[in-house]
Amino acid sequence: MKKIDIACIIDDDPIFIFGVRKIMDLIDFCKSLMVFRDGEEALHNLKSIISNNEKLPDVILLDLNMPVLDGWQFLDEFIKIPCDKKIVIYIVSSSVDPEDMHRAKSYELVSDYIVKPVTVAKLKEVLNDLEKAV
Amino acid sequence: MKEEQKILEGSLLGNEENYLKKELYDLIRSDTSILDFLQEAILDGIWFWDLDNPDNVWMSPEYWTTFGYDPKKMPHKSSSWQPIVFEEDLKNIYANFAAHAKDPKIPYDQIVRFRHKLGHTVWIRCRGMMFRDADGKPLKMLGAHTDISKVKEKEEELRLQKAFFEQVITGTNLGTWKWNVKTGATIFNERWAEIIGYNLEELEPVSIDTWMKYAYEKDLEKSNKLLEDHITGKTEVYEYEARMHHKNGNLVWVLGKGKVVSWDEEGNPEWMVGSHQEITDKKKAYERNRQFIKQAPTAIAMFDRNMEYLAASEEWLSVFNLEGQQVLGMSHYEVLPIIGNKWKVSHKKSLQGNVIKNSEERIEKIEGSIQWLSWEFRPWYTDEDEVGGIIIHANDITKIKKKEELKSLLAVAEDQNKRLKNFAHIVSHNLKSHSGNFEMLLDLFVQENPELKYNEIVKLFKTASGHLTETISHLNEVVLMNTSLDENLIGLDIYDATNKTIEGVKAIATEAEVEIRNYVTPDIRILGISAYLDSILLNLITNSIKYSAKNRDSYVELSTKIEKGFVVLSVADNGLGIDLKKHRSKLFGMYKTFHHNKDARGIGLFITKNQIEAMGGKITVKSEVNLGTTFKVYLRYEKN
Repeated sequence: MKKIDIACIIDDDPIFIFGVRKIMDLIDFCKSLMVFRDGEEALHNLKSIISNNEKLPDVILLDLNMPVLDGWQFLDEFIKIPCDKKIVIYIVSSSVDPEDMHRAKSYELVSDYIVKPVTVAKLKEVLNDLEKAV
Repeated sequence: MKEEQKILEGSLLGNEENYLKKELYDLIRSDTSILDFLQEAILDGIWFWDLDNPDNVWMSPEYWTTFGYDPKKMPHKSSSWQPIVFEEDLKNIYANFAAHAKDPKIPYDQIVRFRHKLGHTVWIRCRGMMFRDADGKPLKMLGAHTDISKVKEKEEELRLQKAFFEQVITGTNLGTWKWNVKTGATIFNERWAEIIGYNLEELEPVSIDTWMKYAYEKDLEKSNKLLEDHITGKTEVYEYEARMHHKNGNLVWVLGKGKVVSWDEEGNPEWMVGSHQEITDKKKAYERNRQFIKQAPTAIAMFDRNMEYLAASEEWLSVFNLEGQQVLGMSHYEVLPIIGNKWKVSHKKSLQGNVIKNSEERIEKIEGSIQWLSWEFRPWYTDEDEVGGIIIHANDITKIKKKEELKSLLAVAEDQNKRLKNFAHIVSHNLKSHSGNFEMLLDLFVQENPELKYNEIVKLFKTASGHLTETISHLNEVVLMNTSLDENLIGLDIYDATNKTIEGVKAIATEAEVEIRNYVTPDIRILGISAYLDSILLNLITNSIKYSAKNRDSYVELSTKIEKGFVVLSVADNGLGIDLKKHRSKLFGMYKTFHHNKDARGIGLFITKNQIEAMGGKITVKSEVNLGTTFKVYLRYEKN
């Protein structure tokens, strides 16, 4: 079992972050965790990581409904950045709107759509998928 | 007195010798001055002619003064009078003389024109008597002159007048009539008969009944009313327009004008005279205009100066609720008594030549409804360039007004829909994320504190959180459903769909010991949304399983038939049934449950009904408690 090095959460909800952090600890999801409170902050920091040639996250859990840059806007900007590393992105949202789910599929980078709430079981599944893929 | 009357009668009869006559005659015989008096007073000259010496003729002084000559200067010779007689009349004189000489029974009585000394003509009635010998040979002749120039002048005047009127009548092609109101005697001219295709001879015997017979019944009534008005003195002239039956079977229009011209001693009308003018062409042109207006696809009406209807369109009658009413010839105010003074003033202004418009007029009708009109009053002009009346054009804009109202309502609805969508968004995102957090935190809490897993409060907390999540997800389903609707309906095989659903519920059906019988006809396609169809089938079948009767062999039976463009899917079971008397009205409502089943969600049928309706179908139900329930789902048949 190869553990995930760095995971990244982009979400404006502190409770959610708290919860996910707990679950990740419980199932030993990753070595370290990056947290950004909105799309803008995430984009800004990820850009500088790339330009400084620092270590990028292996997986991003992306919320859709956020202030400043929302999930979609983040995606649209992020795919423009040239990057060698393969980053797996999960959209994690409360929305069950089929339109959102459909739209998520149109991004090559997005590997799945997880409907909140996140549970231990769901994250375990993600972990399994990632390990298989690597 | 009595004696006088007798005498008078006697003299009138002339067959009784009166003593006074005898006395007068005797006097004349003895006193010649009496004869002088008589011939001066009665006659305008006498002559006495000697036939043996035809050149000798005695003429009285009056003879010459009548013609402007001095009797003293005129010799008593035939050559004196002959030159002043008109030549043609002189010939007549000789001819008449000859005839009288030959046969005394032929009277010598003629009219002779003399030339007056001043040049004008003097008309003389000349009578003569001949004296003969015992053998009857003419000897002398006595003549008497009466000046009839005055009568002749009047006669000539009359002749000229008659010629003049005759010329006018023929020139204007007028039919004429004379009617004796008292006796009924009637005289028409040729043209009067010709207007209706006859000659006078064909119409014989002519009387006032001839007019009655050929006049068009309805118009006759009207003209009789007008005639009465004239005879009773209400009108100066009797004027009427009437149709008459032409010989060829058609109706022709005449304009009649007449007047009483003589009255009897008691002042009753005696003779009436009048004319007939044919106005069929004019009437036809007018009729064409009238037809044009009648057929106009807008509310329009034409009035004369008295605001009487000349024409009105069907649409007009409909706008003013006058359908089927005879308005022509009636006053607008008589037809619509509710017309207020404000309008009458406007009509008057328009009759003075003004165009008056109003683009929006709110009219409250007697029965309380509101009508919106836009209208225009416009004067129309006769050939003489005078205002002949007005044309009113009205438009019922009530519908347009209502549409405007509807539009504003629609805007409100749109606004509300927008808010509903916002609400849906809040449900979908915010509420859901909060409840998600609850669930997540509870999970974590229990995982971190495993000893509290069976704590009563924590357990209830979990249940409450679960219900909250479920409720939100149901609401979300409902909200999402109404946003998609029927644009993207596609053809679906209902047999495949039922098979798939049955496969999915096999496990729970077996567990509940419910047999599923699928009699759906293969290869029937409906128009729908795949996810909805699956959801509907799942909902109805699981309902049947959930509410099966435990005390008997349970089944669910699915079948289809085609009915008027719909595929009717029937889902019938022999389960617990629903008391429809109590519950029908809320069966398909939100959060209604009818059984104390632990799985009863109370939203399934609400969603099912909405999904069916979103696909253009409907659902009906029949049920009896403890016998079973049958749902019939009408889905649009693709072939239709």
